[in-house]
Amino acid sequence: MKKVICIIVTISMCMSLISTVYSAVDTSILRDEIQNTYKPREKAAYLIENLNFSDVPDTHWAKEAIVRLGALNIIKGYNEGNLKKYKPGSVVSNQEALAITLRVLDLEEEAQQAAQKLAADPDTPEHVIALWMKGYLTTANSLGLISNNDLTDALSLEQNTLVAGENFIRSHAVTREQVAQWLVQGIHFQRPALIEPLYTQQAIFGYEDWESISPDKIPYVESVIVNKIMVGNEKSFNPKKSVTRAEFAQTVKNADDMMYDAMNINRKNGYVAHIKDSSHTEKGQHIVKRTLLIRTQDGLVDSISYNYTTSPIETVIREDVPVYHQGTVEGLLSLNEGDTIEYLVDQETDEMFYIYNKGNTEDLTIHGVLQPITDLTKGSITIVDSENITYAFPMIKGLYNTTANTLTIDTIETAVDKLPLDKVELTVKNGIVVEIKVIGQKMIQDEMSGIVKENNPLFNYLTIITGDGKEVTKFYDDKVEVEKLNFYDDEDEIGYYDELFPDFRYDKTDSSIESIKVGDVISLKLNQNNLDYIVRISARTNHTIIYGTVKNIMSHGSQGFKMMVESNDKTTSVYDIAYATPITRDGKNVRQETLRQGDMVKLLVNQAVIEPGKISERVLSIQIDAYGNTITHIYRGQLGNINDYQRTLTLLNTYELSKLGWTDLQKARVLDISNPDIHYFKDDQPISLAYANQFLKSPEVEVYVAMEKYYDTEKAVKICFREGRDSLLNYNTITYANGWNKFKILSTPQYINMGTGTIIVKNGKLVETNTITAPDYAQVVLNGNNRAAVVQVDPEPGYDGLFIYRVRIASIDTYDKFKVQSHALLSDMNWLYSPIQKQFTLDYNTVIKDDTGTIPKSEFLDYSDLTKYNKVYTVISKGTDAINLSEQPYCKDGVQGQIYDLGNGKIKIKDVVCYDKVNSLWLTLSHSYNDAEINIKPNSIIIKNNQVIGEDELEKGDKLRIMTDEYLIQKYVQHGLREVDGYLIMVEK
Amino acid sequence: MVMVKRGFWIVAAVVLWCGYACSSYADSGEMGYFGGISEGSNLPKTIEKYVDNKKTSTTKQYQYKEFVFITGEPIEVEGILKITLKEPDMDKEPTGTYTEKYDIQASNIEKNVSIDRTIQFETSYRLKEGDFNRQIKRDSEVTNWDEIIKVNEESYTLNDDFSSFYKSGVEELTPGISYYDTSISYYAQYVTSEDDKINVSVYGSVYGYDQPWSKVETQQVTMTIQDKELQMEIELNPSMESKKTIEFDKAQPFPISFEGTYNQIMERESSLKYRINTFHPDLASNQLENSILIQTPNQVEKLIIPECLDILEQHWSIDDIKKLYSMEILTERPKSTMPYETMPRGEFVKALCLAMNIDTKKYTQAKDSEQLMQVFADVPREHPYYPYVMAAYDAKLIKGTGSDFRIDEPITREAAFVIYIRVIGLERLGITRNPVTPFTDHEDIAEWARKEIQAGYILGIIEGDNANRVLPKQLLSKAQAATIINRLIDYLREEIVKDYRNLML
Repeated sequence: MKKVICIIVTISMCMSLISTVYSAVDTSILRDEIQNTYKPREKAAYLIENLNFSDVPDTHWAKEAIVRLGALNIIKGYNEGNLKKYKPGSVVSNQEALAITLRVLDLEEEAQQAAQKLAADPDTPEHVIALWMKGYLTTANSLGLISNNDLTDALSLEQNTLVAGENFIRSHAVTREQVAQWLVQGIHFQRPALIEPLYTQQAIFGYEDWESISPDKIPYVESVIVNKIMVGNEKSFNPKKSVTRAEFAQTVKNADDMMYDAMNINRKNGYVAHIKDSSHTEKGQHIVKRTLLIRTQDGLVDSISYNYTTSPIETVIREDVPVYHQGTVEGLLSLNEGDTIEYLVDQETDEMFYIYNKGNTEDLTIHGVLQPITDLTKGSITIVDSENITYAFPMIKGLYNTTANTLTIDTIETAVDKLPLDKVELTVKNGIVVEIKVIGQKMIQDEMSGIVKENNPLFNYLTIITGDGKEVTKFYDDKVEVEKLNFYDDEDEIGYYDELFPDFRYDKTDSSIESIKVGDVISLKLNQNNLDYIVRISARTNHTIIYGTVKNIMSHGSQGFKMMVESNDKTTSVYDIAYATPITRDGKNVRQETLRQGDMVKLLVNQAVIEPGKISERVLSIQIDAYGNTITHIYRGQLGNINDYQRTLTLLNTYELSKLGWTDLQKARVLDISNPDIHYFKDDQPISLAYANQFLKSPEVEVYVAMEKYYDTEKAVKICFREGRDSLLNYNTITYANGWNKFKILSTPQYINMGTGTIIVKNGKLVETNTITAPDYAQVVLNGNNRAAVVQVDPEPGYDGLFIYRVRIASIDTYDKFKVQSHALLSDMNWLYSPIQKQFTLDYNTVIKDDTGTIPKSEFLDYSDLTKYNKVYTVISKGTDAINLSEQPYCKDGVQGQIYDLGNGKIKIKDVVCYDKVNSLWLTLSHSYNDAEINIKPNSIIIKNNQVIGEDELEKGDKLRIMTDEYLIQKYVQHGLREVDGYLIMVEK
Repeated sequence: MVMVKRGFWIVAAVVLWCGYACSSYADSGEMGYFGGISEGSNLPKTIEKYVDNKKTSTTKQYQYKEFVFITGEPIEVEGILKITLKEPDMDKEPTGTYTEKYDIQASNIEKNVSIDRTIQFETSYRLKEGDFNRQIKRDSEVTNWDEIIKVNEESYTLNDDFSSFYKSGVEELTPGISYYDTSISYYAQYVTSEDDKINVSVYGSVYGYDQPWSKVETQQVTMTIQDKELQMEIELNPSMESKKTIEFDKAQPFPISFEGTYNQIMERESSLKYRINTFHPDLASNQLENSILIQTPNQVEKLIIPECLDILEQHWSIDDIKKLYSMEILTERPKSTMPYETMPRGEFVKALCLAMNIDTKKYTQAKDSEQLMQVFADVPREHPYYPYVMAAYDAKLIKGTGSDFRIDEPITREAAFVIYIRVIGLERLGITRNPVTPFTDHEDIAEWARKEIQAGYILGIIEGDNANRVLPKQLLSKAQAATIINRLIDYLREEIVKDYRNLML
């Protein structure tokens, strides 16, 4: 077994030594279907050895013909000792010539059969039986190549009695004219269409010695000359001259196409496009195999393989094909990818007889304009070059697809009806197109594009990085035309249009060189006479989108502001925001002050890489998410179960924080914890939910949860666990804050500590400890020793910015303004009368009400029967802008209290005090069950934080002052009623 | 109508059965086109790759919510959306027509409002196999539209003769994700019993994508109501999202053969946000803008136990590797040296194909395997990665030149990143062919990889190390490969959706 392995190793090494030099550019050889799989020859080792004739040097002129015919078994060599010899210089005899001619005609088998027949015939003389070529002679006779007399001569025992010139002497040298006759006669007999004797002559007259040709052979000589089978030397044909074996081989080779036809052999051309090696063991035999894929001249794929089989009894079978290359004969292993070959295959058995390796032909590249393809099934492509010469080439199969009707250009399959009829480059290998590339049209030299790296208006230059990565600097002067499309404009309008077609309408892209910023995508038109200078620029902004939460804002007045933003991945960046950078909220433009800490924002950022590792970022616009990070509720309770599947957490014995303190006790609240960014804390230490689940389920541990608005529901955002005792400090003013972890509030002298585990809500947004400043107005939940669990900062309620008047209408300009004859301003509980006329402006958002609710502005008139002239209204105004006009009773009574319930047009308040207008005193309504119900009427006005609001914006815990037209204490005392109509409802501190 | 309410659970169950469309195109239009939302359908479960128990139905029913604005007061109605639609197999028939029908019945009992609407479209489509992409264009025209809105005693009936509806969309099929954009525009005239005419015009866009880890459909539409009494302009943003998340479920008993399993949680949620831009003093602030949700209980699917991964001995990447084995994205036999081994190119492509559900059926279920083409010299038909490499080739993820794919060679980080970005079809964001990337070792990045790496940086899924290097030429270890594939999946589960759902900021 050892030896077997040795052989395998040797073979494998052999294979790798002749490693494939990758030269084929055949892009589809593996993809194309194999048309023919040819068989290698058996006993190839012996055959190849026999073809290496020791007496035919590599440089011999007829070597290829000799090897080729040898491989086809048409000629044979001699074994002399250990040497194979062909004896190329020996003269060919008549009988040898006949034998070879018959083999060329594929009649070898017939000759053998004829010989057997003769041998079997008892009448056949002894010496004839001994004659090796008896069969050839009788077959040649039956074909008419030799006459009956010639045959008798040839078979005669007394060969030495025959007379040269009279008799046919088989061992005598054959003459050239005889060879001509036999080849033409023989082939004509087999394939009449291929060749025929020519009875009108012209060609022979080119030779000086034509008259010496035997007259009966003249038509044959004419035919071999015309068919270029035998050509003689320049002057003479030498019809009577003998023929050497080398010459004979070459002569036969010259007639080979006819020979192949007669022998049913196909001669094919192609090149080796792919070589693949494999080895496997099967039934104890080890088979090493090399498969070669041949791209044929008509673009198809053939395959042939070399097989080396080693069996357990150490016999070796090599199946191979003789390969001729520059004088040497080897096997398939000598072929490399890219070699151009001619090969002979049997049409019936698919055996491959012989390969002529012409070596690696250089690829040819041809440029030209692609012509439309009308019939793809032909598999050919036509181009016209710059000299107007038309070239047509076959293509490899993989370049076109007749079912889909596509052609592969630039490795992309392109429909034939959409071919770019453009300049292309064809790579032609061995006459076949293997690749098609579009070169495209002639390039315009004075335009370029890229991304701005630097713009220096001071020194008038611009550096861009082009699409292929090159850095290019160009110059401009003050005449340069600049067009820039802003990020907010649509793309599809003008562009370069007005360069081609001058147009004088407003062009939103007209701009100046200063507007070109680093990172812009830019296209330059250069001066045709001096390509260093730019004459025109067309640019647009290139931006990315960043989401984040505003952590801090530092205003620099007219210089804009700095904004610290934490993005989703928790990295923090500081952006310099230019003054007047657009800021929107709810789709509307807002002022910079609207942007607050805790806001979630979407930034449009122009990001430019100045150099690797260095990025410049410029914020183009800020969009505030009005709902993002809006805290809806804060709950307290004990940790219950966590449902990982539905992503919920249950709080047990849970309260909701309101302005009234901890209210609305429920046994369990199920909270949505699906937000992946929830922060969990134990005191100020971040923890995992799993930790909490394991160790913090205890009645001793309080859980504080901040919930964020999420459409019409809410999701938890921050969950904090604490073990101290919970206590509440009501809303009050913060007197001191160190900007980090401590503050003081008016209601208690001690410092209150905060940390990362403190839930801090300011203006409804979850924020950091450093945003607490004096004099914020805050509610604080303490847990343990002066540690804040929750700090809730709200704007201090009030309505100082609004004026409340009672007015009598003097005149109305429906869509503009109205005048009043007199007015009374509400100050505390008194209406301060003034007889002076006053004018208020009306706007689209001025709301006008009567006791049925809002009336259309068109009904607020001082003419017609709807007139409001002389009517008394309550007016809410900001300066002279009337916000709200309401026809209300004259309210001089008042009620105060804190909301504990509301809804359906009613407000329930507790701790009720009523205004005794006679004594200007506030008196408690009753000392038990001190509550009252306020009815909201269609013409009621509710005011909170200097705004007129809707009923739905009131909340539990709000402290109210209500103006009404009844004295509630009296109503209660007299009728037991605790209910009163509220006309002016003001939320107070 | 109480019956309808109760019916929701049954409806939901039906949807779970037949909800997932078999086509490889995106499920668009699951919310209808009237500014409402439906619960939509879940993403397919992993088991469905192996067991085909889906009842294919051309009709789907969804829970549905919408706001009715026609009276001037926004009223929420809820009910059922029934979609009847059968898209042809566009790979077989690249052009053609089909009908789609949307049936909406919804009501609000408290406010005594109901909607009954049926609209049917004839949609012409064309699948265009381009040189660089595949896309589907769809164009719909209304063939039948009946609608009646009842509010208390009043009814608003659609005047068919003066109403029209157009929608037209394109969908781009990138290797791993389908993205689409449909424009809708309609004009409806309603007639009251007193023959008052109310005109409603709506226009806007429907955007979305569909991929194995999440899908989203979001509309941005503007509605204008014009009437003698009422003029109202409303911006609406209905949005629907389905996603799969994954969570480790540690096995509680101590003597159990495995440490734990991964639960794949199928979540979905639809939200509707609107904002009235016109001034209406009668409406409360929570009527002028509002948002609602349809939340559907999450579905949980247990993934297979990652086999024999304890041999990895707590390598830093073990969680990523375990997840990928559980999701059956890594399928090689595990071995202890795995995290330290380099990732072969073929294996990386295979893992991405599995991660993005790239269809390999053409190659795995071919009747005559001899008919299948071979593009790469070293990836013959018999090669186990052949279907993946070829599917990736077909998806234009990798290019074939008749030469070797170098399937066994270790993949470099840059090559991995290029495939990584192409699979989600977002290389466009790299802007130019050869941009300057922000990484300090930019010069080391091959020119062909820069565009994709830049796009990955912009998306935030390719990041530099501490020295801001991307290390393009470094070979990817299997541990790193697992980490970056898992990172991509995480991006596709949650982050990509963000910009789709914030259209109305």
